Amino acid sequence: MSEQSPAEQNAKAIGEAASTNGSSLLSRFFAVREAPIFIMLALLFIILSVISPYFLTARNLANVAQQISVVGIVALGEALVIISGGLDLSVGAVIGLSAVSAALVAQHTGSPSLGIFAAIGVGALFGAANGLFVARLKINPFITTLGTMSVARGTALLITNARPQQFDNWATFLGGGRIFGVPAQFVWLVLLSIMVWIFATRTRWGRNIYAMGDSLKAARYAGVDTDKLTIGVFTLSGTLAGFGGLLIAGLLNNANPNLGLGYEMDVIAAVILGGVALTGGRGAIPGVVAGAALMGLLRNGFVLLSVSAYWQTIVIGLVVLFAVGADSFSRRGKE
Amino acid sequence: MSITSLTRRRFLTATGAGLVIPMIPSLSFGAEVALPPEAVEFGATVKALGASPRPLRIACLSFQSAAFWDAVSEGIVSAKNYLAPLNSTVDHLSYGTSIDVESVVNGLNAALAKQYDGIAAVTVFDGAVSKVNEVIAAGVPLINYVADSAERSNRTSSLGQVAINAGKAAGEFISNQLGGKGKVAVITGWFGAPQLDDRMNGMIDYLKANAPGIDIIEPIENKDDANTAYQQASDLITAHQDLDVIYVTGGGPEGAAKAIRDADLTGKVFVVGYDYLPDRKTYLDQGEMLALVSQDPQRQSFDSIVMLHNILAFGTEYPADIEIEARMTTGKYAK
Repeated sequence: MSEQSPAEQNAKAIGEAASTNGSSLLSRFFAVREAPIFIMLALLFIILSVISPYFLTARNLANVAQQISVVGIVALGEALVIISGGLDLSVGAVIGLSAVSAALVAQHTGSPSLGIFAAIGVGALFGAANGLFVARLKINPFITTLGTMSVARGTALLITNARPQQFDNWATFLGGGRIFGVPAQFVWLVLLSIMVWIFATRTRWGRNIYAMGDSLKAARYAGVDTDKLTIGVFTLSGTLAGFGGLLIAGLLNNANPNLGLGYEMDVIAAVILGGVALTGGRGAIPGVVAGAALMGLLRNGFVLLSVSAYWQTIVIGLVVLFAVGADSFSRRGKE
Repeated sequence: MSITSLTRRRFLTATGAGLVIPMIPSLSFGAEVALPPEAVEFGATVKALGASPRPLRIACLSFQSAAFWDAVSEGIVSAKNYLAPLNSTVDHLSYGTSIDVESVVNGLNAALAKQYDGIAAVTVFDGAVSKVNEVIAAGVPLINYVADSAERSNRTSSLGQVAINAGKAAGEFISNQLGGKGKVAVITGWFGAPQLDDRMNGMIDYLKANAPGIDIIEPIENKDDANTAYQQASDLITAHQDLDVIYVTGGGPEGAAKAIRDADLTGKVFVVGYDYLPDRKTYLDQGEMLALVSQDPQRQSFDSIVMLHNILAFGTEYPADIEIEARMTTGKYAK
């Protein structure tokens, strides 16, 4: 019986794949749970490069980088929640509430810094509330976050009277700025992905998240404080959603209380595409980022190629089915 | 030109533009109560014909999920204050934030239970037709505003913009602005939403029939989200470097305008959208938005309520269908 957590197994598989060569390297790559998503991503990249003369331009690559960033950042937190055995449906509404909180606080205090803290703080607060309800009151995460989704959206509408709020100050650079031509949002995605990946695979807390998602009872018997961990994971998810709201408000110079409507579905799709098991305990951060990138690339490609919007919806559904199906097929083969 | 300066014959002639017709011959125009200043400013056209001989209770139902509905509320508040000294009490009942048929039916049920003398309501869904007919059968006059159901109900009257005509007006405007040649992209809010489909098809059909020199790119859907509109507009600008106009049928035109600004294409690519709201003013002033088609939401709620006052107090009759014309609020670069 292996004593390694799934996170360590993933990391080991990736590491071993890098340290070998030839067919051995290839077979080890295919052994990685996220292999299908990386293959699809690479294929799509090549196909779009060949078909569309605009795809490989600097402007378009910057567009793609920006398009995947907020979904990718929020998906990092969602992935940890799902790996721990939970689900967070409130992220879209928290994006909207955090965005308007940033704008309102910045307007009323004249301090963009306080606006930033408000956005992240509101996200963290809602995340912590989710965690408390799930861990302490033992309410199902689906029900809990369905409830807080409604509370967050309602609060955003209430405090703004449904009016969009102007957010036009230096803090908009966080979401709308460019660093050496690269969208600032993408820089955040890269930095946060590395941080969350290290957290998930190289810290005791991270390994405990996988253990908890694999078996809550076993994790408790092993001495893991699962309540504290649940609260922590949901708080992180809320914080990242809050940051996502801040980035969108920055990009648009405007915070609409309806921002983020339906984003939870995009985020969950990216996480599942990235190889995270909905049943918990399995998944890796690079796969999640690749899932968000695949969704973004598909959407970008559709517009570049003027594909009918009806086909876009069908193709995205098929891609999700194919990716999850390939993963399921691969696991059955191993079993 | 004020209504009071017209003879009855001249006034009837002028109704083609959507003005409302008081039909009772015994009523003198001199008895009309002057509109409050804010109602004059937002374009209200219906004046109260005097104080009601008996106390009246009128309910006005609307959604509360976006800035558009906030503008509707402004019209309701104005009508409430206008009619208060005229023996009519106006209550604003909210459907809530979910725009669905259940909310409409529940709202109408609540208004019936509270035994209002008249109801102004947005009844848009075919599923609400039987409930509207129930209201009428109960002897309560009901005026629909903003958007009517596709299936005709027995409502007393309906006030609103005919979406297909608004789309045609937008198409004519775009054609004139481009001189009959160019390229237009379409971002629609939701495929399958009748009002948005009509706005989209009205514009497309007009251009196909009257401006064959204008290419139309395959429509895409932004789910009324400004951030999605930003991303899609960025992609469209990249893929179609000869793009002239992005036509946005629903929410989020400010996102498309911001993408134009960020791509340094102000004055070269333009947005044509709907509903003049405060957060869109900057894009009209700076030039990213060529025009916004106004639905006059304040006027629609105000006129509906005052029509009910006149119907209940004086037995005034109004046409079954009153069209709000598509008025363009133009931006810096509009010719």
